[in-house]
Amino acid sequence: MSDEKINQQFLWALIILSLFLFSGAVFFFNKDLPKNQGANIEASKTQNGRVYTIYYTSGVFSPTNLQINIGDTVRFVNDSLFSIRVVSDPHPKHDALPGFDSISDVPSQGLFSYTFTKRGIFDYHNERNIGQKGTVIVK
Amino acid sequence: MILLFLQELGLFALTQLIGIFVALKGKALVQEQNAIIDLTIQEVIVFLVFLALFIYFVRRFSQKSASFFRLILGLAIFAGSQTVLSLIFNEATFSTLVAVLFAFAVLKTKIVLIHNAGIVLALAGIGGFLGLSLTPLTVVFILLILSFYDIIAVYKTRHMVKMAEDMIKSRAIFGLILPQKTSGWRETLENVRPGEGFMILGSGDVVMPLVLIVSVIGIQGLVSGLIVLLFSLMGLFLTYYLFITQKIRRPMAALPPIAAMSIIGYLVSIVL
Repeated sequence: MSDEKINQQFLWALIILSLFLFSGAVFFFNKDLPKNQGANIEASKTQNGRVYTIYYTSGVFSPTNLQINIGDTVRFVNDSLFSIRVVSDPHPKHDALPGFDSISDVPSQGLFSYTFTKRGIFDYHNERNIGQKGTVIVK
Repeated sequence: MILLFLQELGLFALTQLIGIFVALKGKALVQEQNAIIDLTIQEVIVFLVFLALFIYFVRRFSQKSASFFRLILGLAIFAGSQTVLSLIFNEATFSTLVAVLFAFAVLKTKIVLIHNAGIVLALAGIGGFLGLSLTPLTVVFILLILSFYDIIAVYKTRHMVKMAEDMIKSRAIFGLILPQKTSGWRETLENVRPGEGFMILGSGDVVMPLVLIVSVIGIQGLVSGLIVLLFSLMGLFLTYYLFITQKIRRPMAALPPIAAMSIIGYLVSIVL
């Protein structure tokens, strides 16, 4: 058997092994997470996670501090008359929790939902008025 | 041969970068509409069964399927390019009109350069939005299934090779055409024969890593997506290496090396 053929067979065996091993590792690392870990998932699609709602009224997020479990979804409902934009701290980088950003404005009576897939304490604020803050604690 | 790889790398990377652009712009739209995203594993399995049945019937009736292949290709180019153009120009009517004309131009001219431009836009547009609709975990599952399917279909049953031959005959090539000489870019599709001055990289080999990259961007952000992109490029190099070191040049399954490296990239992005 030529060296090239052995080399080819070895590489293919390595690729197949890698596919199994690393896919297994992905599934293993994700075992704590619900199947639905997307940024915007309706309650009906959530199998493991709960859905919580934070209302924004008169410049206040309520509840201001919310404790949830990993995989739970939080809906930010804008009950005020003005548009808000919900973003992760710190201002102006907003990079404490990448992906946590309503991106565009959430209009009056609109909502933005986010599924938390990382443990930690995440502060957020209204980008339209950075003094209006809240915290989500993910266990 | 280095030219071949550089062309492959360039077109692959260009598709991924346009796809990432689609994802970043499209993400805002998906969030604005609060769309339901993600498929369950069961839905993915139904999709894969449907895909297998589709391939079976296309093979069964391949004599009559030339026009059908071309219709599907035209629709894919229209859908993808319309998506990309509408995100660039923010103008639905103009984008739709240009996309229709572009799809017709690709099908009518049958020139390698224009064909590749059509495939790049088709895959970037479709892959970008598909990635936003799936979670990385689901994409890894699909990549795993499709990789083994690719190995069986290319080396065992060989029906993938026969289907590719049928598509080449019907001039509806669902993939990037890579000429070994620069003059090959101006050739018409009638002169494209894999192994005879041309190599074809299947659309699935390009779009599936993009779907994973975009799904990772949707959850973990742009930097994580770029890490997966870097690893998918390494996977592309591994595919190329396996191809050129074959004793006899034969069609090969390109997805498994690209998928394996992309999955490693996703794991690295989780750890980092």
